[in-house]
Amino acid sequence: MRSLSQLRRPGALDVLQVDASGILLGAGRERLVDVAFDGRRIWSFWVLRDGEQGEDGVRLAWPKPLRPFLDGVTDVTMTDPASDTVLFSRTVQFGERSERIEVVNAAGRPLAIDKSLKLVETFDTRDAAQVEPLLDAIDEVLGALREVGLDAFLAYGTALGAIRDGGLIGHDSDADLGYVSTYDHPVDVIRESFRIQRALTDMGYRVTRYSAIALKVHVEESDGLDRGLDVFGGFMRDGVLYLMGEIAVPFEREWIYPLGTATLEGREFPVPADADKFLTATYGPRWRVPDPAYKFTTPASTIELFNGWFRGMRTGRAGWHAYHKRTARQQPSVSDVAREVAERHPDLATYVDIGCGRGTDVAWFADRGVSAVGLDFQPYAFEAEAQRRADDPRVTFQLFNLLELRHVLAVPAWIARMPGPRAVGCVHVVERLGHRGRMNLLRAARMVLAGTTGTLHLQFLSQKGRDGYARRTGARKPLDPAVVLAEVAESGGRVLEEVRTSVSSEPGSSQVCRMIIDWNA
Amino acid sequence: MFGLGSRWGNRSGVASGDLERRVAALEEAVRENRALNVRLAELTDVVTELLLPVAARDEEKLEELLGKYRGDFS
Repeated sequence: MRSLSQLRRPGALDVLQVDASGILLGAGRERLVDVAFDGRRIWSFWVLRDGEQGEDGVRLAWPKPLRPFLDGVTDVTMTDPASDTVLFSRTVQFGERSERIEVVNAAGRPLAIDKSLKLVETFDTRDAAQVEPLLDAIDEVLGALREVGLDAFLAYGTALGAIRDGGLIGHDSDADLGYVSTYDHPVDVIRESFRIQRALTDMGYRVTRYSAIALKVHVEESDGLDRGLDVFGGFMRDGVLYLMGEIAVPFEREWIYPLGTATLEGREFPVPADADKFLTATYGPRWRVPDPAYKFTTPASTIELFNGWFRGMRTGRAGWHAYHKRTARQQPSVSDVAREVAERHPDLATYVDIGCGRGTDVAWFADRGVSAVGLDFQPYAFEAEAQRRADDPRVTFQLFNLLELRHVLAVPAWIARMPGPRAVGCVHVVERLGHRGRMNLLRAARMVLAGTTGTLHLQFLSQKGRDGYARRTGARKPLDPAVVLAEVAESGGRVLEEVRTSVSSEPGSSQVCRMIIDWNA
Repeated sequence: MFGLGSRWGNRSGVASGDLERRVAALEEAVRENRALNVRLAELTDVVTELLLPVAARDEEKLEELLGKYRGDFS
């Protein structure tokens, strides 16, 4: 039987124009195209799905991360990946530079666009010596998961590559693992995931949680690179397999366990018992046809289901990371809230900064002899200050996520045992939170302050001006003080003071609201 | 969402606009219900890992557990 790819009609690609703005094609049918620069695949696209139909033809814009590289000369080749037929080849001058274009990272390693349109180091440019450490890492994480009681297997692109080609997929860039829990209720599967994270941490691994049942296990590869392997949790319920984050299909447990094996770059790894059924559930019945530009067509109902059951812990995290990266060189300044707290509580013993960012206020309090705890869900932000203050007994930083109830309960329970009076500051955080996050903030503050006369000092943007203040502080958008007042009342607290002030005397200045709150009524 | 029950008995005369509104309210309710899974798992985790040791009144053990519990936050 001939495969679907062989049945596709060949034919030239009508390329009208290739320049810095993109590729312009004449009218044609839907087909998959690989684009190479100087013979190396750099991007793949589906003509009609990814192109924009205009009067002059179908226009494909270069993916955004690629654009900065488009200055110089390169041989642009377009091929049909199924048959390797060259559809177009021409030397193209982009911009003014006469040098060859090199799409590489700072270390000089070649990069290409992956299926999520990110510019990454893909497997096709790694030689055997570079692949071996990854295989070791997969082996190690599978072993660690076995030790904590989970029979994990290759999943998603890693399973596809092993089962279909016996190797890593050239245009892929990461390795994915999955497991199917013996539990059948989301609550139990989530609890199991918490337990797994603890066990792996105990074993010395750094583990990052991406959702209630998806983790990234970091392994130091033998070449010294830190590599995170994604471990997706799954379970069966009422004859349906749920595997985070794309699969919800009728399935049999026997199609997963006992696991079979597949060869990946010459080494054996576990895969689900019925590879065809598993890959059909993941990629559809055409999984045998390679598609470097593959996009999941997961039904909206499945995405909604996973969102509801497991997601929502990392909302805003990437945005704050970008903010801290952008502002890392800005001169730090002590907040008005910190000064207000110091003035109101001259005998303060412990200051807690929720959403401490770079930790400027934490360091300021420590220098005044007050123990200070900086809490933030973006450890990248406080890393430098934490290192500088590693030997300062008055300074503590702790990863703390207002979107995780475990954090909201356990961290304040720890702080509530520190010497009082304690006070809490929270500067330009609530604007970026939803109702649940803000209620968790109030809950955490109340717990931290329990048994002391301390207060919570909030500052947030109440009116956005044209002075760039919203962007400078990361607040982004204003929050109506009435919303906060209602939430404080809902939490059982009271607002002792509320002031609204302009941040400068310039016309069009932004306005901030500061509230002092307690739960001692 | 919470007014839904009283309207339930009057299904025959529902206008399509009302149906849309009710479906939207139901979708919102389903979302909220699904999110309870994580809340319940988190709460159960805290109770089993932290509150049970509190009940044992072992101060030293509690201090150690509070430190260990937040050690894998990521």
